[in-house]
Amino acid sequence: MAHIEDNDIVKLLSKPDKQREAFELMVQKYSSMLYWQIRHMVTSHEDSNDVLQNTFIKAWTGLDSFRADSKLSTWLYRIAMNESITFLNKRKQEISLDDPDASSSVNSLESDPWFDGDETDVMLQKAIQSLPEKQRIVFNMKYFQEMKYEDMSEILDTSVGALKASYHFAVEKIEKYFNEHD
Amino acid sequence: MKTVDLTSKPKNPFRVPDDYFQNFNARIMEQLPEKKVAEQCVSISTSSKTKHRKMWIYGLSHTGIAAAICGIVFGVTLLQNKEEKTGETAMAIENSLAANMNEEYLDDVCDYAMIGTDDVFACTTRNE
Repeated sequence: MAHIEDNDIVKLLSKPDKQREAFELMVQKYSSMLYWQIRHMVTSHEDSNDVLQNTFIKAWTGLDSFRADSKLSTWLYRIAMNESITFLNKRKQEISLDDPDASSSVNSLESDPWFDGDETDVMLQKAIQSLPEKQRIVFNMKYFQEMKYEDMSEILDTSVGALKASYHFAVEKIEKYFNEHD
Repeated sequence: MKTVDLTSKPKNPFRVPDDYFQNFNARIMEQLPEKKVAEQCVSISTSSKTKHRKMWIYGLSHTGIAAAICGIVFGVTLLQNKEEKTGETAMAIENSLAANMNEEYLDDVCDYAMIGTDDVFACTTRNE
């Protein structure tokens, strides 16, 4: 697929008769990026697929709310993040009180056909899941997606300094988790 | 002992099914709800419905303007009445205060001069 600029997509989106065509270009350009953003939060492929669909449907129905002065990628990432968090919060409420970890997908990673990691990778995912929500988001964006702090700042509406601090604390906690659970 | 090096390039342990993204793109486009109704509402048309809506909005806007003007006139009138009343009340208060002040002032003078108020009145009556 030829690379298409966001400005060109936005121009097409503003024309009612070209909206579907523009949206398809947007899906082609951003589905992979958004999927991995979601997958690192949600871990399961099936759940990530659901959240990704919800993200694009929300983007489609909320096209009127997109302000052309903000970046398309920032807007989409925000929707994806919110949908991921909503999904995780909903799943938390559905989890049995007797066994809080029973339904958590991170505990079934070893048997997940779409997970190729070893024991260390499993422990890393468990450590990440134990982080507070904001630290988890920042860590995933920085470590797995190698995002720049400036881009993260736009998406999360948080200062670069605060993001660096969040990442630093996240790393510390993950290392501590490894020390405690070995 | 398991360790993790978070300074090196991360390994992605997750996989996706083959052709997932190509299939996803086609699937999501099929699932998108139609926007035809919204587009018709937004687009400019000469249908009677739109004309009727335009006339209703026209009438409403003029009614609104008239109501606003009435409101302003009423408000100004109310304010003026309030100011007159306030003026009358202020004058009464001022007179009262002045009267009180004279009496108080008289008491202070008497205290300072060590004379009784009867003496003061007696003096003033004699001079008249």
